[in-house]
Amino acid sequence: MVNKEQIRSVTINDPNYPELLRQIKKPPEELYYRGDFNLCHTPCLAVVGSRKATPYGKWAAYNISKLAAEHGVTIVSGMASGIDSYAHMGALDAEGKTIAVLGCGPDICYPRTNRDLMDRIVRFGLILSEYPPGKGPLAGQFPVRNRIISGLSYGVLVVEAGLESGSLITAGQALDQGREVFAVPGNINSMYSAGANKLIADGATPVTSVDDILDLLGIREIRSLIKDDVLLGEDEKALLQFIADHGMLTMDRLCLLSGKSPATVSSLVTVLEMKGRVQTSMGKIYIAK
Amino acid sequence: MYSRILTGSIMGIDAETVTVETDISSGLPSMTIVGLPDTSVREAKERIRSALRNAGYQFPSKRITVNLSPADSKKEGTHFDLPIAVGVMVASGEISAGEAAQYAFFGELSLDGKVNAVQGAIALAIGLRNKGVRKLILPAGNRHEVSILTDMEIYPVAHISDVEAHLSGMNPLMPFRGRPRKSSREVCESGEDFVDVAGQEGVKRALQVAAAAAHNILMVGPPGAGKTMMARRLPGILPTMTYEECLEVTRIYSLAGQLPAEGGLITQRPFRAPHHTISPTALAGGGSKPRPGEVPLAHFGVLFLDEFPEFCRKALEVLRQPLEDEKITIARASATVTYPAKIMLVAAMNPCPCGNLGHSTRKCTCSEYQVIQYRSKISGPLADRIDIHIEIFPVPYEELIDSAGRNIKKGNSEQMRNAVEIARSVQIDRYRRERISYNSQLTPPLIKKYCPLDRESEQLLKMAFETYSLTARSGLKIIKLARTIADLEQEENISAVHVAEAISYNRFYTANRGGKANG
Amino acid sequence: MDDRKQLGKLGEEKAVRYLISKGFKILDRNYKCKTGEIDIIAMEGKTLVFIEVKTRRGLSYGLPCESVTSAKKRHLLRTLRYYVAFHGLEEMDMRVDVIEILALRKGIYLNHIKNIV
Repeated sequence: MVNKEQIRSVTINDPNYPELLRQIKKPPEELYYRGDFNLCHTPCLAVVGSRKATPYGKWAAYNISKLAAEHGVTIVSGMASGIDSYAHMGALDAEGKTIAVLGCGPDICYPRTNRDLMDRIVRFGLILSEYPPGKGPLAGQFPVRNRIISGLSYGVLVVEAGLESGSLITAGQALDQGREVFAVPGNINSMYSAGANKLIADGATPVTSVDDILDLLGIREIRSLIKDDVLLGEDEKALLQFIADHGMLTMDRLCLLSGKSPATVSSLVTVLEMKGRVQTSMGKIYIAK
Repeated sequence: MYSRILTGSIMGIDAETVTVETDISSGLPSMTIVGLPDTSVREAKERIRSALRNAGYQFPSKRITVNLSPADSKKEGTHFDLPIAVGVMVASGEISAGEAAQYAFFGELSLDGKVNAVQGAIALAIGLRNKGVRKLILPAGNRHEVSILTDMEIYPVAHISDVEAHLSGMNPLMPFRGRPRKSSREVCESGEDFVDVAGQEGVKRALQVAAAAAHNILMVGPPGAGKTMMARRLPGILPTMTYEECLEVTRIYSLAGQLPAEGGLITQRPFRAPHHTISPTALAGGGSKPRPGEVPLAHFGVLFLDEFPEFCRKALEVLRQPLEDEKITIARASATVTYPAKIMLVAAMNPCPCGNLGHSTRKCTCSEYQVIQYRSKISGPLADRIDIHIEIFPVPYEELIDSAGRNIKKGNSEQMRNAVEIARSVQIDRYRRERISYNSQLTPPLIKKYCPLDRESEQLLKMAFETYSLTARSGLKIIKLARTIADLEQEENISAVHVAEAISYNRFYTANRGGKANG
Repeated sequence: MDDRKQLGKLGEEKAVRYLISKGFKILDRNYKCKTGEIDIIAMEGKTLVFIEVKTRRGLSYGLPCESVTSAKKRHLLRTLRYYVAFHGLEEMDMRVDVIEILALRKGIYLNHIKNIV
């Protein structure tokens, strides 16, 4: 039984309404939600794909979502069976954040087999819908809610999709909204990946590791902002922020930006590296993976 | 009928005083030279006989015996001609013995009596000076070279008759005074400055730390990153050489026959950059008449070995003794010679055999195995002697533009050198009771004594051990470096900041050793 | 054979006369011992002089003095040392000279080379 009191809503005029979503064509007038609404303001990555997924697709959806979530990325999906479910599970298993955007009322679990998953998402993530509580799952509503999935996100990752898949619609909407589109390449003789491969052929960014996404979205820095920085001194924090802002810096650049001497910078970077916060390689300083 | 004349003989880099004893006695006319002369000395009698006759003197047709005392060390070189000739003239009464005894002599004779310049004159003169000789009669051709010895009276002669005229008082010579030597400042300004290097602040800092205590340094980076450019500027931030140091360097160059013709004191720290195909002998020194090689020629300066792993193994072995004992010994059939070799080793290598590993636009074609092979060539005792390992990468074009546009503070060599000089004087002062002068020479017991770490530093070091799986030896290196960094910052105690920076100069080597990071 | 001996004899006579005219005191002529022979031994002041005389009829074999090779010198020295030791003359100044005599038709030429060792 769903407690009605858990369901709240925001309107488009509410300052708490997600800014990214406000910018799309036809943003929903009102959003009903259960869980932590603040997740809408975190960097999101949509992970979508067909309901009939191969083990490869499930593996990719689960693992990419998990790794991304570990870096502090919120995984947005549609809680359908197949790829969507594995994306949510990956994020939850990483103790990361996830948002499920439903094609029915936020109190209704569709498909029913996802009841456990939905409970977990309510507890640790966010259930979102433009439909009021009690609204049942109707076929026409699902493609429509896809615009919200992409609208909330910096980018959309299509894991496995046939040529007729709804995921391709999501990808198309993402492009209209100016979002990045990623696709996981599949075997060229696999009908399950035909859609994803076509996206790549059409210019989507192929994803071979989670880094491809993080780099392109510039999401690298998120982790450091989210993790607690109690161990770090003020100088270290400041330096970390510079590195996070740029994703990657050379020593010279860091000296210039921070206004500190090379001696100070190199000792701070070393400490940060030993604390596992940054990595140096080939003369460049990165936020640690 | 007996005379004693003072001269010198080169022994390695040093010179010993040699007394030329001449005895003229009755008997069948002959001239014998004893006291282990080599061929070049034995031939002197032919030159002397002709030179004296052609200069209008009587060559006594008597039995002449010349002894080069001490008689048990080997003598070589043509510079014995003049002292022996003078010895004969004194013994035969052409020159008064009293006058000649005040001077030391060296020079080679021509058959017409001209006095020719000799090689290694300054080495000889410095050796004699250190033995207390203050008046020197030498070939006019060597006068500029030797005139750097401001505390010696030197009398250059062009002909054997000048010697006689001077000593007899007929035509006394004036002591020669050279041109005043260039100040070190002038020399530096003519050299290359770090101000010309755009960016690379981290590398500059590492080089400054290296310079502050003569730490050896290894730079790893792709071609075009600026390794050579940085190394060339290193001598410019080393402390100005003292007069004695200048003399020592000058005498080595003199022995190697590498002094410029106009002579003069070498006041700039040497920078030697031998090619990686160099033979061990050329690096150390050698030849039947031993001559200093590249290592002794880099004494008090920088020995830059580019393409470090490409040097042959034997050549690299040669470096071990100078790095440990600050001298180099070469054993030849004729003698064993020891040259001083207080060198600062600057090694440079590519990150991989093809050089492109880590380059932003060029692709590395090496296999992982090749990379490991390449890096393992500098393993072992040699790598342990190199305190600083840093990576150097080309400055991206955007950053060059940026640095040109904005006025970032760029360390110029003079500022850097000043800091280095202060740090060095702090160290000399600290170690005045020890047998070392710089932090790079610290031994484990001395590290314990002079490099106490506070708790925070200890923790940091422990962390480094875990993070980078350091060896005990690198731990010591880090402490030594931390001491130098603290000295450079003019702080009495080592603190965590210094240790952290020191770790940064060792982290690359241990962390990335053999590994091939993102190609 | 006889002719050559006569020529040698002639040369030596000529040399002796020359030496005497120069104030040399002739001590010995054709000194022979088992190590060799010295043509003339003389005193010039305080110096003991050993003289080898070389006589030639023409220049077809080079200058007479050129036949005094180092082997010949070694023989001379050996004989000299024997003589010096035999007579106990070690403390004296001494030298070895060569007198070359060229006996041509138009006349006899003499050349005195001092201290050849």
